[in-house]
Amino acid sequence: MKVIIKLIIASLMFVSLQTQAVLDIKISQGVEQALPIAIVPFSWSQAGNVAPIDLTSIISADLKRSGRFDVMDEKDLPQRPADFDAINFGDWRKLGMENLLIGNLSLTNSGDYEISFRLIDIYRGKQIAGFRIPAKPDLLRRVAHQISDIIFEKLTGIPGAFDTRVAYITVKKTKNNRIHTLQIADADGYNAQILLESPEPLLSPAWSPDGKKIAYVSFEAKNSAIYVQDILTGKRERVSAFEGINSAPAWSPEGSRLAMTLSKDGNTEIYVMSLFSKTLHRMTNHGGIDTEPAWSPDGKKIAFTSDRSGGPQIYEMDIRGGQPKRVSFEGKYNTRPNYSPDGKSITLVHAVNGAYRIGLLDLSSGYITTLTDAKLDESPSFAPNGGMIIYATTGVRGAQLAAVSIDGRIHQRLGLQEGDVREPVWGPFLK
Amino acid sequence: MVNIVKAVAVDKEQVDKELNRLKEQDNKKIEEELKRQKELEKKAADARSKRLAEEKKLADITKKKELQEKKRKEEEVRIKKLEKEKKELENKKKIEQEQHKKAEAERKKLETEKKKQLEEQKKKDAERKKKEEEEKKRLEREKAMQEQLDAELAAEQEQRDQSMLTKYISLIQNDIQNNFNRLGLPEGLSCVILIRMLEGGKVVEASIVKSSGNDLFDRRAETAVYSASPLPVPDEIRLFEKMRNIRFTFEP
Repeated sequence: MKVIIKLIIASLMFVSLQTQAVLDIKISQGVEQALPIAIVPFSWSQAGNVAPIDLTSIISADLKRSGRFDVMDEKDLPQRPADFDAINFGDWRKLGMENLLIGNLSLTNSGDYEISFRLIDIYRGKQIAGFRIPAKPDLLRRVAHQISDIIFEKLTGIPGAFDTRVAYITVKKTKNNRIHTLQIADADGYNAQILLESPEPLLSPAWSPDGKKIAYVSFEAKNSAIYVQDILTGKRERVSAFEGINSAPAWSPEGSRLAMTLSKDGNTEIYVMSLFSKTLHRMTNHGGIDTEPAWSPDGKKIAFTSDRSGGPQIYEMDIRGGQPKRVSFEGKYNTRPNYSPDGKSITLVHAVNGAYRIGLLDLSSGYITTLTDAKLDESPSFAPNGGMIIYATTGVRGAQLAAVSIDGRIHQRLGLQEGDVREPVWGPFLK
Repeated sequence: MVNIVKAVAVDKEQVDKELNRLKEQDNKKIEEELKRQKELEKKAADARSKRLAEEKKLADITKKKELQEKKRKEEEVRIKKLEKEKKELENKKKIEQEQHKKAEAERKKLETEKKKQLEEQKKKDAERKKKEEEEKKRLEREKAMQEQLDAELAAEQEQRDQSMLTKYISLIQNDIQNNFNRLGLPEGLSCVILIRMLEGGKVVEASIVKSSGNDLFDRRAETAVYSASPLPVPDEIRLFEKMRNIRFTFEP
């Protein structure tokens, strides 16, 4: 009955608006700016004790790092409502606030936690999303990233990539030698975990599409070899240890093959190995250097770096073979290709006046946009949602992880690690 | 008639026949004499009866004359009497007629007076009517003039209003566009939002009358309208009423 009355009122209102004169105004332009959001500190059920996690800070940092959100400073919050009914919408609207997150962390009888939150559209006065998530103590941080993902997707229309991980190589100098490690961490740099430690160089980590394995190059046997290691069990397999160079492994999108660079036949060429049978298929055959293969997301093409035209440039070729086609033309130095998730662009290292920067090559136009402005940036890798690119940047304090939004506006240093951090690679969405 | 006897060829039968014929002739003469005497006698008788009838007729006439005289005398008396009656009647009639005439005159006099009154009234009415019509015409002329004046003023006002409206439309458009955040929105979408404002420009109602099909796009458009509120509107109520309801088409 209530619904019917409401409908009638709504239609009457509509009719009355219809009968009155209505002015038409067309809005053909807009602005692009970070989305304003306010996060009220999560309430905690055991007020006497310290909360096991600062959900508010994690979510806030995630959103800020994405470059798409303008998170209100905690000190500027006009109120701290604990639930929907306590929200004074007028106060928030006065401040131009569009979105509000309120939530609660509570301890359950079983010793686990429960996190509930509501994302609210201030102007509409309505809830956009609301969830109640149970969590074991060790998964609290992940839940925080999952909340960030939900907010990101609801407000930008793109899936968030906060609940993902990155892999990278660190190099630490000691008195006598260097220690190389292969590590993975949450996308915000927390929860770093060492998968492998070696006195010899480790290079080129690559995620399997299911996020369960990592392929990498290790010089532990003095010569280079390619390994595939299971993240959870630590079990690893050496898949390629040919004479000469074994480098730059790249997983095919369906996960059954590895593209790699080998020099076993005399020159550095691109090969594709079936992981099941270990059979090799040679892709390139050219006197120049062909290396750093990358699979297109649809699995139909491979991009790679080649100096066949003189300087290093990016080429694309059909996975079934055929003549490679040059795709980068701007500048004299373009290396390290990595496809965007939609396959429409390639991020690469682009040299400008002797500085190595992260560039974005639009495959349809051939234009390269330079996203960074440091001296020595390397190893760009797309986030699985295509919104950010992670890379390593070398400054006075050595090599560090950094991220840039694909419009080049947001730059973030992920300076959590000691020593040099190189060759970051962004993992897939966690299932 | 002379009979010539013919000597030749006489025969007996012929002689007999002649003899018969002569005999028959003599008989006829006698009969004729008798008949003449009888007629004479009849004539004498007729004359006698005729004389007698005349005598009688004469007597009748005399008698008739006497009767006629008597009748005439009686008639004279009757006529005299009649004449007297007639005279009386006429007198009476005359009196009646005079009375009638008098009454008629009175009536006619009244009628004339009434007629005169009516005519006067009619005349008065006509005059009044004429005056009224003149007044009416005068008012109509004045009204027409006033209307023309009003129309001219209204046209001027409308022109001023339009230029003011145009100014405010452009201000509002600018405000909404500055608040419409397109960050990350897909291309090629459009939605229509109908809004109602209070005096002063505060948006009190915004309803999506045509969705883009993309909730995020609709929400951003709605947020643009609300976050730009209060919209720049004229203080003058009359002008504001023209823009109280706005239909925004978001078509970036």
